[in-house]
Amino acid sequence: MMRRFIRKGDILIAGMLVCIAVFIWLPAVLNSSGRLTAYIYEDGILKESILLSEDTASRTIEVHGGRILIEDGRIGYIEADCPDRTCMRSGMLSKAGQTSACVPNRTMIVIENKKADRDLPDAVTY
Amino acid sequence: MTEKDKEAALNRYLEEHFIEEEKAGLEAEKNSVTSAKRPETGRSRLIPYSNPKAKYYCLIGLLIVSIIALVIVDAVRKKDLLKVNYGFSMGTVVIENIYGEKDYQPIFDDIGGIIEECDGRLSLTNEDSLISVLNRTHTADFGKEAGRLFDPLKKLYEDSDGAFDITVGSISALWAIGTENARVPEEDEIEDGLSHIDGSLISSADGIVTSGEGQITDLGAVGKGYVCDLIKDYLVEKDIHGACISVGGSILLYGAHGDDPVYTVAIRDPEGEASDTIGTLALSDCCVSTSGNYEKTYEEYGVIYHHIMDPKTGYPVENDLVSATVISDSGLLSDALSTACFTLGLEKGMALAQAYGAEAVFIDHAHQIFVTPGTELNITNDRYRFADAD
Amino acid sequence: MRKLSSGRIALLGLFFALTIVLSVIENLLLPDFAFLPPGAKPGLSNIVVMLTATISGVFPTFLLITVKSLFVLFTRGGSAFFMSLAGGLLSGFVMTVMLKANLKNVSFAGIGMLSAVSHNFGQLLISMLYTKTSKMIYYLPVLILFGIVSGFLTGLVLNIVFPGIINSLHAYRKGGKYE
Repeated sequence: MMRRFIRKGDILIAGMLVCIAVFIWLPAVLNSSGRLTAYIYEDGILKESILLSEDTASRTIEVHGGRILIEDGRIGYIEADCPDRTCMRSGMLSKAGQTSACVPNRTMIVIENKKADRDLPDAVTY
Repeated sequence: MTEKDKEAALNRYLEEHFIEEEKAGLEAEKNSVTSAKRPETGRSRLIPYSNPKAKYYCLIGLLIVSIIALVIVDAVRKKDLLKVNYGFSMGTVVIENIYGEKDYQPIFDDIGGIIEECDGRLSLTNEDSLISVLNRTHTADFGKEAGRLFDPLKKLYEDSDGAFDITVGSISALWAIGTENARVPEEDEIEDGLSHIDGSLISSADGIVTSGEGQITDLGAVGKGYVCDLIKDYLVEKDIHGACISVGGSILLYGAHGDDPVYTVAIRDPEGEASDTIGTLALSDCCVSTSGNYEKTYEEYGVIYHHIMDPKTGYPVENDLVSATVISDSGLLSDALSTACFTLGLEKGMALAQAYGAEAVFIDHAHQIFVTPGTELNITNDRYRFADAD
Repeated sequence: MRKLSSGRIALLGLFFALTIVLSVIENLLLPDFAFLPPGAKPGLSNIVVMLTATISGVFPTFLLITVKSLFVLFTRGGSAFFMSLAGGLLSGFVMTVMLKANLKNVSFAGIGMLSAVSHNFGQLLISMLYTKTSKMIYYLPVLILFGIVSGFLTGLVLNIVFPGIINSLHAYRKGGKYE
């Protein structure tokens, strides 16, 4: 009996709308799992960006005055010719918001999460 | 009315309101009062084609509405824009978060310019800076900046009983902690350096600042906080929506990020890596600075010397604290106070911070945390605890 | 605009009253639940709006929407007025386009869904303007789903009821009193 009152076009419209709803809803869900991206800056200019969650192959990147290693979803300086070696002391970074900078050589590594992360502080004072 | 008239009236009605070809179907329907019609046929027959262009008007209307919708959504989402810039200036890392502004590049450029210019005026390493001129000739024209910069520092020198003293430069220069020339000076060098330290000899009048003979004035302890004040003036002038600027660990909080005027600022773990923290504060519209014994160090024969010198002893400050964080409306004060309180130690430092109406978080060697009353620190590192928590 | 016969005015008046009554009943029976986003309603008055659009045409429909919004203005205040107006107008546009397009495979159920969703969307836009946050946009998927359900139900009701209404109108007309 219901068949008389519902027609193909209605189902089509309903389906379309459901798809739209899901389409909008998905990005919100996916983002929360985090796509960690590491950015390498040289002299304030972005030299390279690495997707830590996907880039699993280990490789090194030459930067001015040093070398950066990316391995196992972690990134860090493994070689630097600066006098105080703070950059190397920061070790391997793996979490969003972590930074490591070689100030005399004006290079730095920063890890960011694509989604605005509530757990992370906006700034760290030191 | 006769039947015929009724018929005619009905036909007139139909003609007026319905398309010709539909009439036939309607006639047929008329006779079967109880027929359950399929909805579609009934509907199409009954739409009065009063305005055939209505469909297009409505489509145009929809188009206009979608445009308006996009504009609204765009305007509202603008607040959530965040652009982060990383840079190097003043010998340290600068991180700028600008919120809610589409045209962020000029803002970053301007802020970079402000920091560079300030560095040019106040940097010890720059021979042409006003500070260097002051240190060579013991007089320099700082113009309008003099009062704003030197008066509070002079007052702090007095309020801290000399624990905070910008003329400590003669000692800092000997040690040079944080540079390649870092070393442990000889005792007689330290004696000599100490003899020149006297903050009371700094005076500023009408923009002219003078220092005493042989004195070296060092604004390294306050430069980053001071530049935060300058940046804040700029942000106010440009009516920026919100910003969180970190100049080498001195933080300026301004406006709101998105809808939320409260920022989360974390305090670094003195014993940890660059991104290890001990806790967070929820703050808005203020400046935060920290002085600690872990920032710049020099090691010789297993002894670690840090860069904050005690103007009374000529040696790095040695007391119960490992770090002092101060929150204040003024960046200059937050930076200067953090150095002063760190030098004074727990008791006097806490008293000084409260006297200035600032909030403070001190960390001692035993991983204990002391805060000014009313300061809400959220400890996130379980190696640390509040002092009275035992 | 066509000439408005007295019968037509009366009919429209009936529709106006009916839609207002329905919206009042709706508000009484279902106060804003905490878990529902603002503006999610069964939309019973939508039934009458669709009916008006079908039988009486474009102008009376928009007139009806405006009157409904004015009623909301007096009962629930200014912000609700704008929300109702925006949602109603958007829904009206969509409805008119759909009806004029006159697709064979679409019944009131489909039109009801589209008009309910667009109604909710219009309300969402206004609420975003009012609260000045874009967080509201997270409600969109929920609102769409709600619109689908409420639109479908109201459209279904109209599907069932419509022939009966037409019949009674015909019967009335047949008696000549309509003129």
